[in-house]
Amino acid sequence: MAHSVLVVDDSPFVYHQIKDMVEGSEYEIVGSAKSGEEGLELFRSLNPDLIILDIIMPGIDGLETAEIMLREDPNVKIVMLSSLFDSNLLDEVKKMGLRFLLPKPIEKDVLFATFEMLLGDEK
Amino acid sequence: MNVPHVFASSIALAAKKVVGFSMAECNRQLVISNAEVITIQSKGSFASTMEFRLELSLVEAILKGMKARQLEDPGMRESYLAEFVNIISGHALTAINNATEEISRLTVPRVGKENAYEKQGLSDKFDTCFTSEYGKMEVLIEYSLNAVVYELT
Repeated sequence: MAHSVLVVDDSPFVYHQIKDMVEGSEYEIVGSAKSGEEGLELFRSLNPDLIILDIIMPGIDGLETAEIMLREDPNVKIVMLSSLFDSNLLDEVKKMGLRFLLPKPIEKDVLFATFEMLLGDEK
Repeated sequence: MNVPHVFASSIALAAKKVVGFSMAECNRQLVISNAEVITIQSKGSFASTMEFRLELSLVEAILKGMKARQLEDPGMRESYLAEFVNIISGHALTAINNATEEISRLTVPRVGKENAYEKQGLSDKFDTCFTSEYGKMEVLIEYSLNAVVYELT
């Protein structure tokens, strides 16, 4: 069975990029949201295996959205995305208990390796 | 730290990753009259307003390079251009933040608006430009760098 993926990013570029990357793979996009608020709704209703979450978004940003998701489900598997990826932001993401911050634009090999590492935590 | 140099090299590198073609820095100022304008700000140690002015032929090439879809929806075109600017300015700000060890963060880009932001308190500015086989892009940056930068000798 495919692993379900929720994409939370206000950019259609990122959504289509990921959709193309996962086509024919063991991952399936089950939902997409353009804001943190919408992402939280889908997170609660879809219970996806993996969440890809952009940091800079209108409304609730990705960091705040991740914080709420982690409070509601400490085992949630989140890959943070950002065009900005400096050492301070990496520290901030790590302090929240998250392990992955991918720079934009996403590279397919890196995305799949990240998914595998996150899912490998279950084994 | 040479802020214009950091910006120029980061923007050129990131642009190629996003759209798949090279953009080389120009040696002289351009005046792009019929341009698409996208503005973004950074807040924090490196406070800035960055205005990207793109020739329309370059806009079309960028959209093609990003494999843009559903362009019949007017909001979609803006979303792709906003993401292009978000990524290239994000790479530049990452380089600045890592060099200064300070924190600056980006706002959400605004498309189609000149002077979209207040520029109060920004002390320095520079213009840079890029050319490609598809057209030109001019970048106007007003900024204040409130960090001590130690240059290695």
